[in-house]
Amino acid sequence: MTIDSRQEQLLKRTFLDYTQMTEFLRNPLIFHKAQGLYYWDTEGRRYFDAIGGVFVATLGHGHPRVLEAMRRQMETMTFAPPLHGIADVTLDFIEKVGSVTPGNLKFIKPFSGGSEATESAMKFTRQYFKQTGHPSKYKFISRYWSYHGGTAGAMSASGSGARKSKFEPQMPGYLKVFPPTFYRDRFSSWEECNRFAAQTVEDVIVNEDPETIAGVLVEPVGNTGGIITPTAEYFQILRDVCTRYNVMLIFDEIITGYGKTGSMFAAQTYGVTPDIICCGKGLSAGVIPIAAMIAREDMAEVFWGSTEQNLAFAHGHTFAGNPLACAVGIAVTDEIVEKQLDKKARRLGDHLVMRLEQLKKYGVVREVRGKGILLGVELVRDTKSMAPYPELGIALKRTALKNGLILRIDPTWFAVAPALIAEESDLDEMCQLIEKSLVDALDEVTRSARTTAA
Amino acid sequence: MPMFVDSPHIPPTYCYRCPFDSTHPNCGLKCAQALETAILQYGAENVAAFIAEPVVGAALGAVPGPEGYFEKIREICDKYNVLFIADEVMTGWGRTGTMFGMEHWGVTPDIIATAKGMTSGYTPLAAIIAHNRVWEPLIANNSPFRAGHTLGANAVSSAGALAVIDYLLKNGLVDNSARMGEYFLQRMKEKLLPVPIIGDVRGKGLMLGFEIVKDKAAKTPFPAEMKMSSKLQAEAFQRGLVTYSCTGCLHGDSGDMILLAPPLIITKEQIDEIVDILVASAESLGKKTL
Repeated sequence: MTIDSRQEQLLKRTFLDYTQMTEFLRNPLIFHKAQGLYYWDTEGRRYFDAIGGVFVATLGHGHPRVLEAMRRQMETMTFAPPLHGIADVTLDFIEKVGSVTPGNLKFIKPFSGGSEATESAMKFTRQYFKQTGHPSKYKFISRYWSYHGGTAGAMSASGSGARKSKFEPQMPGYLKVFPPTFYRDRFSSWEECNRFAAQTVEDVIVNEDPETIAGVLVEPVGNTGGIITPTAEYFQILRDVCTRYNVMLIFDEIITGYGKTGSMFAAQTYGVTPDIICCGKGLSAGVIPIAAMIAREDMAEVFWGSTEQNLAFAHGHTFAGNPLACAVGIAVTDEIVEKQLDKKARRLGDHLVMRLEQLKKYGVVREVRGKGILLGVELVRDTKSMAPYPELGIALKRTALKNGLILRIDPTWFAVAPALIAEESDLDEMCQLIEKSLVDALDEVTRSARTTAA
Repeated sequence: MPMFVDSPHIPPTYCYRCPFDSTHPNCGLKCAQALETAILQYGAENVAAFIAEPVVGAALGAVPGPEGYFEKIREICDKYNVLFIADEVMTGWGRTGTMFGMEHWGVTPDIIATAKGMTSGYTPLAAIIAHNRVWEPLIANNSPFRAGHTLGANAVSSAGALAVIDYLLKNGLVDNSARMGEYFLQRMKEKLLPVPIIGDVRGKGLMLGFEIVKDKAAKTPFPAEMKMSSKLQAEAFQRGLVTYSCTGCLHGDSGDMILLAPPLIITKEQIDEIVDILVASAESLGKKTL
């Protein structure tokens, strides 16, 4: 698109997240409006939002129920003094979220972003152990190819080398294992591969000294690593290992939470209950910063005690649990529960998998994987060598936008997670756009390959 | 347990309890000089930045840096190629009587971190504002800033901030903060400081505070277990005033303060009302305690 000099000047005064700005300025994109499943840029071009912004717009854009809840709350109170009391609507939010969480995960502390939720989970866990006679438990085990947030602790827990190295040294006590995908070509079955990968977690706990390990942090479906979808057994092993060594199992459900995987939480989809769930993104429906740390009620009890003991979770954030955000969270939860949108995600997901599998006819798709409507497609040069095909992904970034499609592309895979308001006809429209973009991208790379060869 | 790589701290700019037992302005600004010592001890090549609030908020109860302090800090940072980050989360957006707190010293930091008043509590938002010289190298090196947050620059929060900043500017609230702040501090000095349990009264613009002491002359604080700042907060609350109690200005464990940061639309009449409540609360608490 063309931008004017004012826009160009302003773009030079900021950064887009994780973005090479010189590159972006060559092909800038400024959005103006959003409604339902679509975005419009400032030049009126329409885009199908196949990923809810960035796994955020669960209910599409401009959902009337959410906007009405915001309007009503804005007229009442947008900010209660957080060190003096709590807003009535924040209590309602805690009740609402607690009504959809698994097991006894009824302790809910709201926050403004996923990074805040994961940071809190780690601080909460460390303090919990100090107050229950295990003061030396401070280390966290997480995976390479993971992403848990941009703040110092969350960044240390994240396993994405290039994203971290410019900010290191990172915090101490963060250990890493590889996700099952890393080992997939070394095993005859995906199940065996997952068993091995899960076992490495126990190996690290044992060899570091279990009395120093506080938690294991995982995304049930790992977005950053390419929609890494382990087996249910993988999580059963992690659950068992964590219980045995008194280690907290923390699910980062910031992407998987709030319906996408076919249940409210991936914990329910996988049938494994962690000790803590961090959620965000989808809970906000894209209208306001909100996230939450959800923990076992009995963990929270440890922070009460008598007034003489003066126990408290010495942590917080100014806008955490603010009334406006909570009003949104309640409306979003209500909508998903009432319309059973989590179950719908399962049905839509099946349809979507079928459509995406049809892309295999182009000979460049290794696998379609994921859960519910959170799906990834892995691109390869050919299905014999299964060699990754980043050039195709890079071309796809351009052709998708040209075809009016917002997709998550990384570049050896792409992902979709359309809003739960979509119907099958919308998914078909989306898949048509995906197919056209893929074909255009293939054209581009084969043409340029021929040019270089010539 | 190690939280982060060990980072040095230098003494606070608390003139009422000077860490060097000196009296400003004849103190040689030893608190600022301490930055140079810390940089040299750790090695200038190991120190990335110095971060400070222009007026210390909750940790000290509205204590501004002394005159000349930030000029010296800027000098030292420049000398050793250390970035200066101003934490203007509380002091930003007119709170201290200037748009940003650092303007009182005429010093430009390298990065400003700000939030709170930017949206006046209507929507969650924060921001970092960096000098050209800080982000130009990233651009020149074709190097993306690999960080971000999903809802960081979201449209709703941004719209909230725009509305608040427009209102601030159109209604001259930064000026009002300076004028009302001066009046407020003066009234507090006249009426609150004489109260026996009040040790010090200070602030800049509409960011004000005071310290509660047992012995005014000796500046002795009450024992921490007495929770005097919470009690004063409760007395004020009973009289219909919401204040912010803080502790720990003395060695981090004892010391009681109250922090005030009323809306920038405040009037003289409202200030008089607040000061009367504070005086009544402090006198009542003093009688119950001493």
